[in-house]
Amino acid sequence: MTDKIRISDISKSFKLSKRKRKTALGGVQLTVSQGDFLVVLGRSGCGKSTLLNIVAGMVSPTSGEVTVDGAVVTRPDPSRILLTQQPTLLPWLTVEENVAFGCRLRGETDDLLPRARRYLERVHMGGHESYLPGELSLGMQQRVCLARALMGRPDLLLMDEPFGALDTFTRTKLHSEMIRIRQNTSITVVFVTHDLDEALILGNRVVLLGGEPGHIMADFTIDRPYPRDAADPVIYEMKREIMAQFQEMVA
Amino acid sequence: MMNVIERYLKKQSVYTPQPYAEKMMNSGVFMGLVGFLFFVGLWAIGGYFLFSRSDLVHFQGFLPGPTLKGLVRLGMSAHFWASVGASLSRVCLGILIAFIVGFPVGLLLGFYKKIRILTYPPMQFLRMVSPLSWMPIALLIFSSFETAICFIITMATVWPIILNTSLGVVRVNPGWIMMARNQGATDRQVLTRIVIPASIPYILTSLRLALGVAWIVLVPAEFLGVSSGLGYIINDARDTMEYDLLMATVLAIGLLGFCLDGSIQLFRRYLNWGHD
Repeated sequence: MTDKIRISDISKSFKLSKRKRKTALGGVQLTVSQGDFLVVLGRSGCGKSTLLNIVAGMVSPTSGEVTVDGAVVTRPDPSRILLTQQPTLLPWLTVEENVAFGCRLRGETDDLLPRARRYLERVHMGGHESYLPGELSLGMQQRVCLARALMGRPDLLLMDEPFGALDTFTRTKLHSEMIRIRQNTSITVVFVTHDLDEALILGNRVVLLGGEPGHIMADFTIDRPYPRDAADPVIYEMKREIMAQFQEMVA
Repeated sequence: MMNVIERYLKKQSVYTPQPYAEKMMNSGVFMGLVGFLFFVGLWAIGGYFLFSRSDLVHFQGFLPGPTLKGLVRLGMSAHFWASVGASLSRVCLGILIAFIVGFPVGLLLGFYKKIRILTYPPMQFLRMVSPLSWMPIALLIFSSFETAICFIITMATVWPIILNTSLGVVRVNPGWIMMARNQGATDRQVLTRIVIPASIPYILTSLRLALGVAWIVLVPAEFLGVSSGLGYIINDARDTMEYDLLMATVLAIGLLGFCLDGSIQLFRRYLNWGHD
């Protein structure tokens, strides 16, 4: 498999005030293969989101560079869609118009709305196409965001704790949807979370981000078929191992 | 903890409904009518005591009875309606010009913090100058009273339009802009697909404020020189000592202003994605 993303020696520091600087990331090295479902696991505030924003091209690193398909990332691009923690639907557009928003921006006109409805069905939001975002719960809004992200057929999906606000049932449904999407397409996913169970259900590779400043501390390959069962002994063993690593990191 | 969460939620809902205006709309016609009748009663009693004094007796035209009769008389006169038309067209033209100038300036100010900081002092300064103080200058620059009045209304309304539009731009959720950039939006698309629609609630508010200011400035502006308009009727009624007509015109100005404000409120409800 070829390298999809190559993150070489990324560091990022922010100015907090006139005197203080915070170094969020220091020397992150990572390569992601084409078709990987990579989960970046780490505690809150360890720089996970920052890393994702850098890969998306929303934020530029203080040093180092990111290449996607061999090209250096300098700006956001529709081929790499970032899904943020907070839903970002436009409140003046209906749900289906929101889903079609990106394609409309790029000048597509062919049956946008029927396509948008198909994507809504895939995230279990069928029948909600004419609602306004303000009439939906946060979790439903987040699902619409996922539909919008998928409709542009990105080849890289960057997900920043997107299911954090969802209830367990919806979450499980969307987990299987993510797995199905990944099996049916050649999409590469980088998924940031602090939830170990979620990481083990979804990822074929899990990396731990931690330390001050944040860097990759451990790298696990989870070579189990989908759909996975949390009660699978291999998965359970994996969980214990990662947990142990975590504890070591904190100590 | 709860407090923090609530504050956060409030921040999340960018569209804060306006509680006062909403209550006014919802509290029903009945309460509105009671308030109105109370006001009329105050006017009748106060007027009765004031104008029964012998030295003020020829001002009895200001009382509710003669005023209402005067209002009927006004309603039937073509001259009055022509004046209403003239006044409304001046207000509309003035606001239109103010919008054409103020809207792009507001966008510019919203986008660039440097320009915002740079223009803040002169802006606040100019905003506090009564629009009527421009009258002599307006008369020097423009040859006709008509254009001078339009200029004054424009000078009065351009500030709320600029300030509110720029506020709307500043308050656009940065997440929306990031999303649009991610979806490949050009600068122009960010402006037309995100920033302008997101500022619509603020733009509508600015128009409502502008209308209020314009309607207030209109009458004194029409005292000067023109031979039509509501201000002119008031001045004329004073000169001919027809106090019932004068008071009736005052009432008509209030009524028309009330209707204008109400219609822009309805328009706001219809267009505004913030209130649903």
